Amino acid sequence: MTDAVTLDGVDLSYGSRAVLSKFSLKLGVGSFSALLGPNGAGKSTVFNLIAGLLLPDNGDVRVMGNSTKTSRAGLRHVGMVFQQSALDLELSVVQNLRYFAGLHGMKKPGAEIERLLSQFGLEGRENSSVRDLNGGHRRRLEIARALLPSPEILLLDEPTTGLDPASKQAIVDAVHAMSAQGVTVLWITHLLDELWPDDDVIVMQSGNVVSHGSFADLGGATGLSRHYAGHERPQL
Amino acid sequence: MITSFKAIVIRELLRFLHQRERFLAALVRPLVWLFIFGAGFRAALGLSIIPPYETYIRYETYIVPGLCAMIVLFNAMQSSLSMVYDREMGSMRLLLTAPVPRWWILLAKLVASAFVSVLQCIVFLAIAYAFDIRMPPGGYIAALPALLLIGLMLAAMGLFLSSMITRLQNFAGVMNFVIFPMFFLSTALYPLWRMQENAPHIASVVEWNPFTYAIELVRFALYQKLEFNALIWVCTCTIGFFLLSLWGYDPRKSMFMRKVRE
Repeated sequence: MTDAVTLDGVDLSYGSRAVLSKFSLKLGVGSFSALLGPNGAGKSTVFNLIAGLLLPDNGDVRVMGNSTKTSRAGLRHVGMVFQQSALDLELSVVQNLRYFAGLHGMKKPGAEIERLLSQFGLEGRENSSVRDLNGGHRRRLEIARALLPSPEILLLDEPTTGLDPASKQAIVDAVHAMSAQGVTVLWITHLLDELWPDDDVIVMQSGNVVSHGSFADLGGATGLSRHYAGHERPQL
Repeated sequence: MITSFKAIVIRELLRFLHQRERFLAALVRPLVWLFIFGAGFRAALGLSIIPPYETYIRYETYIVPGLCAMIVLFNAMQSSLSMVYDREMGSMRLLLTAPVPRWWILLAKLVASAFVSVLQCIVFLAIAYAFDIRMPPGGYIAALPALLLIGLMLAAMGLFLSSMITRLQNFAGVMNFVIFPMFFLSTALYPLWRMQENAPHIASVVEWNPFTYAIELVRFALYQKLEFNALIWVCTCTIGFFLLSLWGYDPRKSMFMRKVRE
């Protein structure tokens, strides 16, 4: 079976600083992979490479079999939630969703928008300006937007930031359920309580994968906490 | 691809409609020039009969094409500023991860910016008309494609600048070093022959300024004439700036890549 996402021997430097060196990663179709690691480990760089925002200096990144160097077709299958908000504050909730649907070539997204607004508790706020939404609602809108084109791959960079515990749990459960239905998920997080025992966990440090296995095999939250604690504490 | 193109254009139009202050500011600026500066300089500056004019014209009539181009220039810079703002706020990522070629996305941005510019110019020309600063009726129709074309050229220039500007705060510098020299070193406020007489070295700069040709294209179009030289300049600059902005937004070798990585 073709992997949904493949990073093969990727080198990437920011000027003279190498961020990734011969980095390889495969995300199987329908897998739920969590990418963990301290700040500066290279997690967001991996996200940006898959999203096509960065191209590797060497090596190849393939999304649904399409190399990001030569084709953007793979992006049609990808929904993304960025760490930093990517909403247009000048537009309303529904205008943001319609804009994104248009970017993805959806001609009549009305029914899907309605369904997602209802699913994420945003019904009744269709015409509210995004500027007037609180942080939690904005985050929900971002996730709803990512799901709008029915993606086969979901990239989420700390998607539960700013959400209350109940909303956070609802998002975690919903994304796991989507993974069970065949959607490939890459979930970047620092929060170990968002992970389930069978989740594939990839721990990065300084641009390398230092641990890779199921959440349970890596010792669950306790084991991974110990792993994190082993890192040098930053000087504040 | 057409759907994504439409989505980008509609988004820009909606943003423009939501920003009423921006619309007012875009109109007030040229109107101040037209009614205050124009009234003051009417007496000081004599205009001879030069093409496309076939008779003596009022100074206010002379500066109308330059002020239209000024509206387009400021709108292009505003659009460029919003690109830098979008990049700083993160919403640019959404655009750049759309599953369509990047050149298509940038082209849609150009067209959207040009449409907004033309809308502003139409309102400005209507106000000028109401105050008896009038062009031949057919000229208003003939000027629309010219305005659209210069809108594309200046939007492409803005797009390229936005790929080069690393921080929102740096934008004030662009205003000082791009907009004002471009505007004042052009034929917006005074004809070229006047500068050739009084300041030949400045006149030679004016002759190399693409903005001069943007103004002349509109000036001739308003009198239902085509200034072929200006058309060639505007088309060449549009293509040139667009290619530069493609380079600027190319994730392989661009300034943008460095900015994303920061």
